[in-house]
Amino acid sequence: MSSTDRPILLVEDNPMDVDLTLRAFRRRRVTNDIHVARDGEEALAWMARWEAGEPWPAVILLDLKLPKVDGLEVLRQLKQHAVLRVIPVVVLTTSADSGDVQTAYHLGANSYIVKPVEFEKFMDVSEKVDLYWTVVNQRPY
Amino acid sequence: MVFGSGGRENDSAGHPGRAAAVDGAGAPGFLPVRPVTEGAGGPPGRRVFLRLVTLLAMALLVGAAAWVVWLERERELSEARALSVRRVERLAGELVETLALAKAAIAQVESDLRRLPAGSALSTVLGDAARARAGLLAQLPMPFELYALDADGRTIELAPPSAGASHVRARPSVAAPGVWQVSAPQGPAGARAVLIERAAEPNAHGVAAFAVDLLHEPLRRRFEESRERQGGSVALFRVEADGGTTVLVRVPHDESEIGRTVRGPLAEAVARRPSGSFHALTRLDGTRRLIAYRRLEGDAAAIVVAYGMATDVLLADWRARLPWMAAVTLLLAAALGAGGWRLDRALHTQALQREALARRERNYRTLADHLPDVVARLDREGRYLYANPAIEGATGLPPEAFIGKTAAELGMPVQQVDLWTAALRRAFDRGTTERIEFAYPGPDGVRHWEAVVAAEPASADAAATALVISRDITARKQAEAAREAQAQAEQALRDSEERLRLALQAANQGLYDLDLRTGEAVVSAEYALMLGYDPADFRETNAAWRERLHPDDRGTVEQAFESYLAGRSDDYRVEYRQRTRDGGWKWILSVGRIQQRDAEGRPLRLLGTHTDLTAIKEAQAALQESEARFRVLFDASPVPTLAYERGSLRLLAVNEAFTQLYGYSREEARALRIPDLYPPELRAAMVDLAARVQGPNHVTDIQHVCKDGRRIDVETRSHDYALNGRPGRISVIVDVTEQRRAEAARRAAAERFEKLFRAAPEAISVSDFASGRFLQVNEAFCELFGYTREQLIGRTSTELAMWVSPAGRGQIVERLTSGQSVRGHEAVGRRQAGETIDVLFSAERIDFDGNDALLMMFRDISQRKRLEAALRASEQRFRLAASFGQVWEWDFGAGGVAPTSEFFAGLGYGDVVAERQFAEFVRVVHPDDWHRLREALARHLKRQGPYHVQFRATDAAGRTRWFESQGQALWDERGRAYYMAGTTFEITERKDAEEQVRRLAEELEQRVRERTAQLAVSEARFRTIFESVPVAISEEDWSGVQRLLRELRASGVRDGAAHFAAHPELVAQCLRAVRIVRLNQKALDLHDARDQQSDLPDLQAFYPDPQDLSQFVGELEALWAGRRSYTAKRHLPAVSGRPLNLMMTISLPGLDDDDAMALVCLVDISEIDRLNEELDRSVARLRQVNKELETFTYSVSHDLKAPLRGIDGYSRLLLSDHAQSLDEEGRQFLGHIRQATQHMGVLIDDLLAYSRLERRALTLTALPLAPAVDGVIAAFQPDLQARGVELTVDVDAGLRVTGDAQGLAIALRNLVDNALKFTRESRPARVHVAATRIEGRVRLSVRDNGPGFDMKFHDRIFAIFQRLHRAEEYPGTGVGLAIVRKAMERMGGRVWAESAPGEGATFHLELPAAD
Repeated sequence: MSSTDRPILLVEDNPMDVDLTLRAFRRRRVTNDIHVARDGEEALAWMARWEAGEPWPAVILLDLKLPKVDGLEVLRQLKQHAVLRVIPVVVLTTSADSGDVQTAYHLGANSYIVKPVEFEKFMDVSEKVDLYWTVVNQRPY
Repeated sequence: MVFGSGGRENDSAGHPGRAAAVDGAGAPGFLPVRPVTEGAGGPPGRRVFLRLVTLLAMALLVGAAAWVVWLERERELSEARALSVRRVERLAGELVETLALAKAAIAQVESDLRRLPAGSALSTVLGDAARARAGLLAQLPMPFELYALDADGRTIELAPPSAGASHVRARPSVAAPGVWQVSAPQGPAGARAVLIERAAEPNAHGVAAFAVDLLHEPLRRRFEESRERQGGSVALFRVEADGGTTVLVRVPHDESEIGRTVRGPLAEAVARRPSGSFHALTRLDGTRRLIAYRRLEGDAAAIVVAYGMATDVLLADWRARLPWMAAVTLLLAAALGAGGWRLDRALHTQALQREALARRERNYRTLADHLPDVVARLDREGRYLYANPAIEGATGLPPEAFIGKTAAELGMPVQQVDLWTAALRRAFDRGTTERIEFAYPGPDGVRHWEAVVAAEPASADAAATALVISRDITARKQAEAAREAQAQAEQALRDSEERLRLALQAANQGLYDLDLRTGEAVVSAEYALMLGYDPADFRETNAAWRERLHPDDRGTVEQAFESYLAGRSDDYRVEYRQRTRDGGWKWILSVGRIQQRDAEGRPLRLLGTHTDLTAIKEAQAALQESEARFRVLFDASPVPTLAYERGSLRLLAVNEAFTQLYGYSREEARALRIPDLYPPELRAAMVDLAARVQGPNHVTDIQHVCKDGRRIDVETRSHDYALNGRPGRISVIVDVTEQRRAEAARRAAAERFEKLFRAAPEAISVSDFASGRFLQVNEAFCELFGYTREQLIGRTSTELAMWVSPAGRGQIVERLTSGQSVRGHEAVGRRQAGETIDVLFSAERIDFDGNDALLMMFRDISQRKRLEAALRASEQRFRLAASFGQVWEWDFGAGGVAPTSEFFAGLGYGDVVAERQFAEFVRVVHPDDWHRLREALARHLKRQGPYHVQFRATDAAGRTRWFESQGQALWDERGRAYYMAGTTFEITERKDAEEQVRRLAEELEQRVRERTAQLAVSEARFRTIFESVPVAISEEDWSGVQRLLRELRASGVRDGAAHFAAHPELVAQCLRAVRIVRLNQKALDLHDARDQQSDLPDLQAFYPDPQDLSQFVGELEALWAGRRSYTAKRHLPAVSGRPLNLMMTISLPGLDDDDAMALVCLVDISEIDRLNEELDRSVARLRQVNKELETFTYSVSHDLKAPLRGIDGYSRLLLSDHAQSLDEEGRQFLGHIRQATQHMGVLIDDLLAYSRLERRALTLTALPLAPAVDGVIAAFQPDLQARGVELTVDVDAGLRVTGDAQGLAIALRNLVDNALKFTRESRPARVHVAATRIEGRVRLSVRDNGPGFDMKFHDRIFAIFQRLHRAEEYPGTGVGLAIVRKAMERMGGRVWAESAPGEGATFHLELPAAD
C-alpha cells in the first residue's frame, strides 16, 4: 500500500465539524479514504481492527472533547499500545488551553492544531495536514 | 723502590712539577710530556736588554712623579696669586673710590668758597654744604671723615658730621697745594685715624687745607673681612721719599707695627714699581710669603695696599699629599724593579731546569728501557702513556700496543681491572704509593704481578700521571698456593679428628672394631674406662664381651646380633648390662654396622659404638617410682590439677578435685583440649600461649569455663612434665572466684571512699542517717574538730556536743527528709578542746555501703569570721579616727575629763586650765542636752551602748552652737572603764543644713502625699478598669523565675530553649516560682473560679496536667531572650474542667530588671476559632464554586466556537458554491454573518485567555526585563514592518522584575497590540517602550501617538468589555486591557494609563524589582 493510499482516521463528534472537515479535504483534493469515529469508544474500537490486520491510517485527527471516552484518554491508550503507538496522532481541537497542549504532548501527540473558526483557514489547515502527514512524512510502517 | 720515587726526585732548582721536558725520542716519552714555548728563556743578550729596559722605566717613572709634584705646587701658588691680586685690587679700588669722592667733595667746597664773599660765616656755609652731601658719602665702602682746616688750625666738619670726633686729629702739615699728603696714624689704639691731607688753594676765607680721616678701626675691620684664608694678611703702607715704607694699617693687627718704617726687599719692590699692581714672593718676618701690591698713584697720596699669604699655609695641602705621592712612586718603581728581577731569575732558572731535565731524561730512559721489570706510565683514566720494552716479554705485545689503552681494553680480567683502577684512583686522590698484586694474561697463560703505583706530582697545566712498575711473581704465587693448600688439608684433618674425639667423649661412647673371623676387637679407651678397666691393659674380644653380659640380657642380645649378621634385621642396636671390673653392672647401648665383607658377602668387620646408658636407666627407674608416688598424690590432692600433652594440648589426666570443680567426669575431661577450659574469646590466644610456654609458669587473673558454662576465676601454676615419654605439662588450678569477687567489692567500696575523701579538701563525715553515728570521717574532719578517728567512729555528734547551735544535726536531717537541700549553711561547732569554731557546711543524703547515710562537708570559716569581726572593729576605729574635730581623752585613774582647750577656744572662751575644764564644760553645754549626754556616757561606761551624742553649747558671744561628741572607753578585766577617748566637733553648719533638709523633706512629703492621693484615685480608676474590662488579666510576680534563669545563665548555659527542652523539671520549678498577685473578675469567670485563693492559688492551678507544661516553655524562652511581650495560644482547662481556647499575651519584665511584675491578658478565642473554621469552610466552598464556574466558562466558550465554525463554514460554502442562486443582498447578508462569526470567535478566544489567566498557577521569579520585552516585540516584527511602525525600545539590560514570565508577556503583548491598533491612522505610527526603576519597583511604559482618550475614562478602559470606540473605528472585544489588568493584579503589580484626546496614550506597567 503506497503512502498516499493510507486512510485518515478522523475522530470528531460534531457532525457539522465532520461534514466541514470532509468538505475541506475534498475541496483540497485529498484522495485518501477518511474514516470517522464519532466518539472515544469508536476510536478505541479501531485499535482492535488494526490489530486484526486492517491497514493503519496515515494519521489520526483527534478532537479532545468527545463523548463517552475523552480524547486525551484515547490518546493515552493509543500511545501506550506497544505496536500502534507509532501511528501519528494530530490533535485537532477548539481548545487552545496550554494545559491541554501540555497534556497532549506529554501523552505522545505528534502535533497539536487549533481549529480555526474561519473556513478558509480551516481548509488551509486540512490541506497542510494532509500534505504533511500523508505525503511528506515518512512513517515506520 | 728506586723507580717508584725516581719520578719525584727533585733537581737543584726545586721545581720538578713545573719542569718542562723536551722529548727527544717523540711519544711515548718516559717523562711527562708538555709542549714548551720556544723563547721563554732567552739567551744572555736578551737578559741584559731586559735589565736596561727595567732601569730606564724606573727612571722615567720617578721623573714623571717629580714633574707632577712640581706642577701641582705651581698650580696652588698661581691660584693664591690670582686670589691675592683680586683682593688687593678690590681694597685699592675702594680706597681710590673713597679718595676720589673726597676729592670731588673738596672741589665742590672749594668752588663754593670761591663764590662766597669774604668774611662770611665759614663754618655755617661749609656745614650746610656738608649736610647736603652726607647721604652720598654715607654709602661709601670705607668710612671717612672730611673736614677743613682753617688758617688757625681749627677744624671744620664737612662730612660726615662727626659723632663725637673721638679720634685725635693731627696738626696739619700742609705741603704743596692740591697734593695729597699722608701722615702716620695718630692717637691711641682704638681711636686712631689715618690722616690724609690735601692742601687747599690759599683763599680769602683762611682755609689752609682739607683733610680726610680714614678711621683706623673701621679700616681694620674692612681689611679683616677681606682675608680669605687663614694666614692671609692685609696692610696699608705709606711710601716714604727715601724708599722706605711706613705701616699705616695692618691685619692681623700688631700694635707695635703701626707707624713703623720698614726697609728691605718689600720696600725695594714697591720702590721699583711706581704704579699698578704686582706680586712678589718674598721672605718677611722669617716666613716666605706671596704678596700682592697695589700702589695708588696719580693725584692720590703715595700709599700701597698689600695682600699677602704665607707660602707654607698655601702649600700645606700640597705638602700633605707629597709623602703619599712619593710613596706611590717608590712602590711603582719597586714593583717594576722586582718584576724585572723576577723575570730575569725565572729565565735563568728555566734554562738550568731544561738542562737538568734533559740530562735526567736521558738517564732514566736508558734505565727504564733496560729494566727487567715492567715500567709504565698511565694517566688519570688509566690509559698507558708509556711502557718499557720489558712489557713485550710479559704480555707478548710490543710497548706501542699499549699506548692510549686501558688495562680493561687490553684484556685484563674484570676483577683485576677493579683492583688496578682502585689502586690508581687512590694513588691519584691521596698521592700515596700503592702496592698491588694482580693477574694479567700473557703468552704463557695468566701471570701474577706485584706492582707499585705512584702518582707523579701534577701541576695546573699538566695532566696527572702515575708511574707503575710491575714485577712477575707468578712462580712465587704458585709456590705459596701449593703450600697453602697443603696446610689447609692438614688442618681440616686435625679438626675433624678432634671434633670426633670430643664428640665420643661427650657422648660417653666407646668405639669398637670387631674382627668377626677372629673375634678380636679393638676398642677405644673410653669403653675400658666405662667398665672400670685401665685402657692400657684392657684387651677386648667378642668372647670376653659375651662373658660380661648380664645373664638376663644374654638371650636378647645374641638374638639381635645373630639376626643382624644374618641380614634378617636392617640394623644392629641393643641395650644390655655389662659387668664392670668391680662386679657392678652398667647399661650399655651398642650399635654397629658391618664394615667389610668377603667375596661371598660374608661379614668380616663390625664397627660400632658402646654407649653408657646407666645414668639414664637409673633415672628412668627413679622416675617410674616417682611417677607412681605422684599419681597417688595427684589423685588425692584437694587442688584441681590437670596434665596435658604438648602439641595436641589434649588433657591426659585430671584429678578428683578437678572433676568436682569443673563438673566434667574424668572421661569427659580426657576428651577436652586445654583451650576448651577457657572462655571462647581467649581460646585462640591460649592455643598460642600453651604452645610457647616453657618451664614453671604462674598465671593469675584468668577465667576458666566449667562444664555448665559457669565462669570461674582461677590461678594456675604449670610445669613441664613428660608423661609416658610424651612431653606435656601439669597445671595446678586454684579457684579464686570467691576471693576475686570479695576483693572486687572491697576495692570498689574502698575506691569510692578514697576518691570522696581525697578529692574534697573539706572536712567530711559520713554518719548513719537515722542514728547519727559516725561511719567514716576523713583527716580534715578529725583535724577540724580535734578528735581522732577512733574517738569518732560509732559515736554521734550530739553525744560529743559538737554542735553549739542547739538544733544542729536534727535540723539538717529534717530539711533533707523534706527534700530540701542543705548547702553553704553556717553553724558554730565545738572542738574537743572546747573552743568554738565557725563552719560552713553542706549535707547530702547518700547510700553508704547500703546504709542510709548523711554525708557532711565542713569548711572552717573561723578565720574568716574573726577577720570579719576584726574588720568591723577596725572600721569603727577608723571611723573614730577619721572624724575630724577636737580629740579628748579621759583617764579615770588620773581623774577628770579633758575636753581639750581647743573646744573652749573655739567657743571664744580663751584658755581654760585643765582643772576647770569639766566645770566649764557643764556650764556651757545646753541644760536640755546635758542630761542626755550624761545618760549616754553612763550607759557607755556600763558597756550598754555607744557614746555618740549631739549637744548644744553656748559660745562667748551667746550664740548656741551644735556639737557632736563620740567616744570609746576601755575596760579592765573586771569590767570597769579606766580610759576613754573621743572627739568633739562642731556640727552647727550641718545642723543648719539638716534643718533645711528637714524642711524640704516636709515639703516633699506634703507633695508626695498629694501625689499619692492623686495616684490613689488613678489606681482606683485602674482597678475599676482591671476589674471591669472584658479581658481576663492576671498580675503575676516573676521574681522567682528571674532568679532561676539568672542562675542558669551564670552557670554558663547559652542556649536556653535547648536547656528547657532537656530539663522539664526546671520548667516545672519556674512555674512554681511564679506568684499570682491578683486576677480580675473576668479571669476568674473565664476559669470558672469562685475566688483566687481557693481555686487559682498559683500558676500550677492553670496547668493541672503535667503535659500542659510544655506550653509554658514559650514564656520562659521569651524571658530568656529578653522579649518584653509574648503572645501564644493556650489550650488549658478551666477549673471546672471545661476546655479553654485562649490567646495569651504576657508583658514580661527584663531578666535583670528590679521590676518583676508580669501582666498576662487572656482572651477566650474559642468563638474566634469557631468563626475561623466557619470562614475556612466558606472559603473552601467558594473556591469550589469558583472552580466550577471557571470550568463552566471554559467549556461553554469552547462549545460556543463549534457552532460558529459551522455558521462560518456553511456561509462560505454558500458563497462559493451557491452564489448564483443568491442575489447581491443575500450575498451581503452572508458576508455580515461571516463577519459576525469571526468577531464572535475572537471574542471567545479573548474570553478564554482571560479565564485562563485566572486559572493559571503563577510562578513568580526574577525576570530579566529586556529579553522579555524583546521576545514580545519580535512576534510583532512582520506586522511592524508591513505597516512601517517606528517602534523604539529603551530598556536597561540590568533591570529585573519579580513576576511570572507568561503573565508579563501576556500583559505586554496586549499593550503593544493595543498601541498598534490605535496608531493605525497615525502617520507615521510611533510606539515607544521604556523602562525605569523607581525605588523598589520597575515601571514599563508603552507610549503611542494614537488618538488618545479622555482621562475621565482612565479607569473604565481596563474593565472587561469596555470600549471607548465604535467597532468600525477600532475593532476589538474590550477584553485585551482587562487581561492586562488581571495579569498585573495576579503578579502583584499594577497598570494604569495617561492620556489626553489627540495626544496619544501611555500605558504603565509596574512590578516589584527583583533585586
